[in-house]
Amino acid sequence: MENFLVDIPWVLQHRGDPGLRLVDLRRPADYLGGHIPGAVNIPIGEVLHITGQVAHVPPAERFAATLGARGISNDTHVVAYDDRYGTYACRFLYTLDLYGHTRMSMLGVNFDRYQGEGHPLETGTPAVPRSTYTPRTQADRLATKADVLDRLKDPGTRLVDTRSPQEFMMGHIPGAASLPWMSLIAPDRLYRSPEELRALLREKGVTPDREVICYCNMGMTSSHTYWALRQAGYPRVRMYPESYTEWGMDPTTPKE
Amino acid sequence: MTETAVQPHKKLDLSGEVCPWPVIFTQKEVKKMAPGEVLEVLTDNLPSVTNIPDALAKEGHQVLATGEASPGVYRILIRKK
Repeated sequence: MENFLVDIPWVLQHRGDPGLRLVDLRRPADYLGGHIPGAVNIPIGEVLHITGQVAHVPPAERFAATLGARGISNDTHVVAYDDRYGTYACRFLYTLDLYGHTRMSMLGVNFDRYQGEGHPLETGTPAVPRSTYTPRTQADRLATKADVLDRLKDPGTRLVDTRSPQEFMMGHIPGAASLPWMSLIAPDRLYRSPEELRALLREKGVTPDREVICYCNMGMTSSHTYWALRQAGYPRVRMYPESYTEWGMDPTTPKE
Repeated sequence: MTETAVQPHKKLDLSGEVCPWPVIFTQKEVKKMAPGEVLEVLTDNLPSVTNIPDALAKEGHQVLATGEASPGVYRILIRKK
């Protein structure tokens, strides 16, 4: 996961590079009010497929159309940012990863910091040529309810619940470790260092020799944790997008 | 006067926000209000129509009403305890 997190000087230096596309995941009104020059806007709602209470990943064709309309093709280096401690950017990058994208990074600080430091801003929407995107689904990035049920008693899999301790106490998937996503954030950055992340994960019995499945309520904070695990060098990480919203509503699934 | 006719003291438009932020921003706003005051929350995220009332009711606040304000936009009225 080299160069996954990039800092503000890196963005300022590379924002005009050919083949690089900055993606702003904030609300459209906030984006139009001022964004990093050259960035395109993809509101988080376009990255989710919500049915009832449950958020799924968007169908491949729909996601490909979203990317194509922003001039993103399979070889674009995508650099995402948001003002929600990375939760929106991480879910977008997770979806890119699921659909086989390889060149991606995330601004390692909240957009508020970029703005607060007085760096250049642009209003309006840049004109970008449409492109074609071909999704190549990597099914081993995703866990379904059936996958989780299959692995409940598998010692080779560790489930990680990224919700708050209060939510965990009110009900969780049996055997899951509680690892609130906020515990992975550093005071001035969106993530602690990979060494600190590995130590925190080990404390919870989350070791790289096991497959890890992370979940929350809607697959947002668990996407943040997904990228923490990837940065920490964990080789087999899945995310359960439908998460505890789906699990908790199903009267047939076991709860603890 | 029906509950939905209550005049809110504050309004919070959370359109475009998804979990966990609608609940976090609502809790933050309610903390700033005086007991008895009413907050109106607007959201276009359907799961929040359940999550916000659940979370706020657990903290002891009164959920006065939930409903669709316009197509795809939901209104939640909360009275601070």
